[in-house]
Amino acid sequence: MKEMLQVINKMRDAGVITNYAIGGAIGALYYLEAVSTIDVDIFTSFDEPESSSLNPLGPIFDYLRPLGFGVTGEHLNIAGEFVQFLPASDPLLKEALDNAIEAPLFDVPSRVMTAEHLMAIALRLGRAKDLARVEQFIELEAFNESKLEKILAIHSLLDKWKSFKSNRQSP
Amino acid sequence: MTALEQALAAKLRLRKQLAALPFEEKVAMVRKLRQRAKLMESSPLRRQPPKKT
Repeated sequence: MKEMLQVINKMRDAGVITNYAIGGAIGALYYLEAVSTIDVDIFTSFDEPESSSLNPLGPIFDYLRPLGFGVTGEHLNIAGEFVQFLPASDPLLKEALDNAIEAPLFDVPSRVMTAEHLMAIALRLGRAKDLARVEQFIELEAFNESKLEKILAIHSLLDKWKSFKSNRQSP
Repeated sequence: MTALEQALAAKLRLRKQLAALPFEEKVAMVRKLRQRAKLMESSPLRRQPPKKT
């Protein structure tokens, strides 16, 4: 994990990506208890010419392949970690990336999405595992509800939140 | 509070303690969970028995 984070920081310093934030289950791990997951989701932003290309992740692969990091399906294997790079391609993901917190992980300066953005993304995705993560945040009181509701209002997700809350069982 | 409610409250306290662990320790736990999942997947007990004809 440490080497993978170092590689991603180097990639940013080299200008391959403009910024990044850890999301998904590993992003949520920063706030919650451990759950099994196979990969690390890294959301990235690019300079305009790259983001408009048909293959926005191409520069990442071009940078990492010569360093010996192999591709396994949709993932890159960086120092033993399966990493999935995802372009922050819509307003919610862009906002999540811009507002990510700086955290030293394994003594490496890293960027992690906020709990509230992770919840908003999970609510929007709406798969069982995403909603289970939202439930974890609620049960562990690991988020700020007013901050979350502001994000959800901006991205038209308040109805999903209200529906989720009305459907969940009280502990 | 019933015994069940007490047990649930204890579980929640434990989960909060686990969530408060350093990120590095939680990543180590994720690795163990991943290994366990792989072992379970490869277990012969999980393989479908041949269909009877």
